[in-house]
Amino acid sequence: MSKQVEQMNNENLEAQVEVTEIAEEVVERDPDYNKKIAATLSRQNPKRAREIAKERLAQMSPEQIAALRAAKIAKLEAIKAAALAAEAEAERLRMEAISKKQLSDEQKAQLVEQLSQLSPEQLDAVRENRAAKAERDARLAELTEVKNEKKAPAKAKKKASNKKKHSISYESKQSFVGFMFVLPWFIGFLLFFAVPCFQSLMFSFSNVSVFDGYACTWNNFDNYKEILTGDAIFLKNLTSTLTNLAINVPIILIFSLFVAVLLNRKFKGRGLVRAIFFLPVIVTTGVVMTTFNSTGDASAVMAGNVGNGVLFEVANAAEFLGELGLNEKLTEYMTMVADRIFDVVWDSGIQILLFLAALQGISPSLYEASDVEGATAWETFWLITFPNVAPIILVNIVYTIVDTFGDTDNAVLKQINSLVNVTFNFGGAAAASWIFFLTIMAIIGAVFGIFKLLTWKSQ
Amino acid sequence: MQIIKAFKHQFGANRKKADSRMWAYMLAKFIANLSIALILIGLSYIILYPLIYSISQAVRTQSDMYDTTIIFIPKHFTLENFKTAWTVLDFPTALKNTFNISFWSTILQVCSCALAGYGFARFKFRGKNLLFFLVLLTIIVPPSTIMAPLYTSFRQFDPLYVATAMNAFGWISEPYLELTDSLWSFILPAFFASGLKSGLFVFVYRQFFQGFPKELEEAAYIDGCGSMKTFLRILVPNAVPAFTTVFLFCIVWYWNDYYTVPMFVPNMDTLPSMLGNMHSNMTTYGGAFRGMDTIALYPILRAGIVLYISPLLITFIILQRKFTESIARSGIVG
Repeated sequence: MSKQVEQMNNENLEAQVEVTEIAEEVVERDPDYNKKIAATLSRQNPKRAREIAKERLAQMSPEQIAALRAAKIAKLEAIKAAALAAEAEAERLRMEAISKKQLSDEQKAQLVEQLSQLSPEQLDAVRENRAAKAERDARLAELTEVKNEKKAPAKAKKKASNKKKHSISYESKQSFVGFMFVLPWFIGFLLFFAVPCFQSLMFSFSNVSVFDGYACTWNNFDNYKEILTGDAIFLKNLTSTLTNLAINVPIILIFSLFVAVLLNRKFKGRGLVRAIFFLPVIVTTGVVMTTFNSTGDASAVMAGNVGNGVLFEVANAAEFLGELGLNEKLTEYMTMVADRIFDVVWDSGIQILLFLAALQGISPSLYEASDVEGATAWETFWLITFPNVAPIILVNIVYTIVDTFGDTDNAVLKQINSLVNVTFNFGGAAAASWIFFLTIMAIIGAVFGIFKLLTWKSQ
Repeated sequence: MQIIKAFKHQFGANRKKADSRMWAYMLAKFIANLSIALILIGLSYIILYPLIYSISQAVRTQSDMYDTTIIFIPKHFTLENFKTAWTVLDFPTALKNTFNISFWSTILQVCSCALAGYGFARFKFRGKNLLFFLVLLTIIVPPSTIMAPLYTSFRQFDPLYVATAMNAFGWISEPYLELTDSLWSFILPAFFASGLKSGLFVFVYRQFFQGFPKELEEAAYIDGCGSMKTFLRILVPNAVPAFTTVFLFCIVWYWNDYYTVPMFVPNMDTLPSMLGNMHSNMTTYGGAFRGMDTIALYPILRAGIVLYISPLLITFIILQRKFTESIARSGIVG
């Protein structure tokens, strides 16, 4: 084998190396050529070295080339002979080693003699020992095999799990954590909002009888029909709530923006005035007003006309304005606004809060710039304050709508309450509140639509 | 008066800077400031009027009610009305009940809504936008829509047949839990961020946490903090304005709630229900008030109102500086 390989190698070498070596020899004999450079070149860039060698060969005479070739062949043959000799030597040594391992007949005989001298017990012991050893070895081999087998799948598993761990990316982990944060709300939403909502929808399409628990019998749209056509006050309540809203929303918006701009100025006692303006948020809701109502003097207190002390009486103001010769319609409107001042002031606490927060978010450098440019307060308001506050107007409108509709004092909700608590007409109440909800959604949708249209037009 | 002085001060300060030709401008500014001051004082008066008037009526005797010369300052000062109102309202019990309902619900809701708000503000997960739309929906749907079914479900509360299973094991006597007339009807929804106006609070928290710089959290994550630990250690201490705002609104709305409270705990004496029924209670209370002129009862009713709002007023006065100054930072507006 090795000879064949060597021969093949040699043949290959002859083809490949011949030119190179001849060139090297040429180089050796060329005193002008730097040996080292040639060597590195032939190592690093054999192609280029060969080319150079060919060039040099072309410059040489045919006798010189023949001499070089002969020298080279001699050299190669010498190497070949040396290799053959070494191989033969190795073969001889190997054979010697094998023959050394083989026991001579004399030695064998000696061993047998020694064995025969041993007692049968000793022999048994030896045999047992050997069997035990063999067994132990077998067991050990088995164990290691099992161990390896075990290790291998475990490792494979580990690798797999590692892969899995890596395959749960940071993002999906974060999304899981995020959902965990939201989960309590989601459970609450299902239990205390979605399920009651669904039941309410069921109620609105059925006759509900409430004893211990409740029983529903489906009656299509009867509840809706009855509420819309049979009920005398529902539509009236709904329209009155809507007109109230239509009048109140613009007034509340303008008023709260106006007040917010005033409260955003710097003056002494600002903290106190702000606290006073947020007071309605604390006190206004629910019972206090209801108590005023229940004693029958709510409107009187609100208009400031309380039996014995007249603070500002609207009727008188209207007369006064009429005597001044103002337009009757204008007078009417002004008295209406004056009538509503109390409602508006007391209802716009949160709107003021939202506008004020927006105003405080405007960078002071904008105002400084406009001041430097010589803008008047009017221009500053319309060019800086208003555009910055504009996004909050939508929020405020929606909040005002939701607040007015969600206020348990409004006529529709009062009627729904009485349907539930007084006449136990659960179906009717559910139908009424769904109509009410759809109205709210329609109005809010319209507001959003108008806002989109406005921003789209302005762009 | 202080405000006018303030404007005078400003006027004087401007004068130092101004040259003599600026007189007209200065005068205009002074008039503007003065009118602003007048407007603010007038509006403050409108706001404070019912309060002042209530207090003024609460401390006068019944005979003073018929005296037309009295507007604000009574001739016969008395605290009798407060004593009467105290007994009619059953004030200690009612206060304790209302405090329990509003305080514990508020504490739970402040925490649970903060968690939900943080989840919506900082994490991306499938269906987030839909869920947030549902949050907004809970704000819009009027409470009356779900109140009747909610009440019936609270009467016999059995989510996922848990109570039925507990009954089967013999832990409870009925196959349902009765949440009505107990604090649970408020604590349970508040724990799951579904109490009174919770959608609004989730929204407020989301806006606040969205405006919070992300770098701090990232630093905490890199240092090996988990999400919950980051939330508790980094965000909560920095979210004091948001927490204050939500706390105040939440406790006020629970305190003033005249709709769900009497519905869920009809047999519990709470301040809203007691105050709402005060007039009818008084005319049947003992014999002293029966057949009396309503005007004669005003002082007692007003005393009741003052008693009712006084805890809120005290809370507001304590928190208002933080509250009003931190609205901008709370980022409600986003």
